[in-house]
Amino acid sequence: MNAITPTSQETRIYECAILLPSSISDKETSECIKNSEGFFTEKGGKQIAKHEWGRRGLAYKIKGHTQGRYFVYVYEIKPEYIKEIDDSLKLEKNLLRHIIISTPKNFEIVDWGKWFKEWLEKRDEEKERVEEERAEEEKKKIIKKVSKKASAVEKTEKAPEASTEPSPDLEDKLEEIISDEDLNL
Amino acid sequence: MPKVISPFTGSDQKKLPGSRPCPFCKAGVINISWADFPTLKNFTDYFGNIKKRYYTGVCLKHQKSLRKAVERSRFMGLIAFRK
Repeated sequence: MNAITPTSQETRIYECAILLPSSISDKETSECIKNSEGFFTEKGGKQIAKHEWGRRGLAYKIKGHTQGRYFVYVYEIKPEYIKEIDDSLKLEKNLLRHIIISTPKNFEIVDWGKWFKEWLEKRDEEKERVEEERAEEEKKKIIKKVSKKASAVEKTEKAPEASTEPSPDLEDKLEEIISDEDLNL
Repeated sequence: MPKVISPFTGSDQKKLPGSRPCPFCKAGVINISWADFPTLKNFTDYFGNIKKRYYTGVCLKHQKSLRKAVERSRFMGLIAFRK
């Protein structure tokens, strides 16, 4: 992405964000957007970019609303009109929050709404992958435990069989002892 | 598209606090946007406070712009003031 620079020395680039409640009708939202865009265009502002983030949950309640819609604009406008636009945006109905930022040097336009959705998808995929890995590890552990138990059972079964059979060395020794003439049994 | 930046990753995790490199300088970030929620989230703690740069390793220049970005995103309802 290339950095944006103002076309003339008099104008500057501003980023404007608007937060609308998601509970209001589409007519009201479109009206609100028209009005807010009109404030810029009336003063000779030139729209460079417009991004709609869509429905998004809020971190805290704003005027009783838990969900909102974000609209982010990038305008090129003279700095004298910014205060007037800010005041008129304050009086706008159905507008929860608005912010106008003078962009710094080397400012690049990014669609943060799209970026956020991509990040969410990636995070969900990673979560699923981690869960699958855990499930596989647990399976392996269970299989190991079962095999260990089975081998232990086999050992205990084999052990008494070995004790019942008399070893040939022992018999030979006994016979030797019995057959010894020096012993007075 | 931009990267999600998080404080000290990889070999930097072993380094002691106070001697960690700036993750923004490392990634070549110039401006921190208020709308970059995934990055800002990594630099705030459970209660919503901004993490100290002694622990994150952020340089003073980027810490100032980070603070501004967090304040703006708090105002716009992206990040909570206090949990």
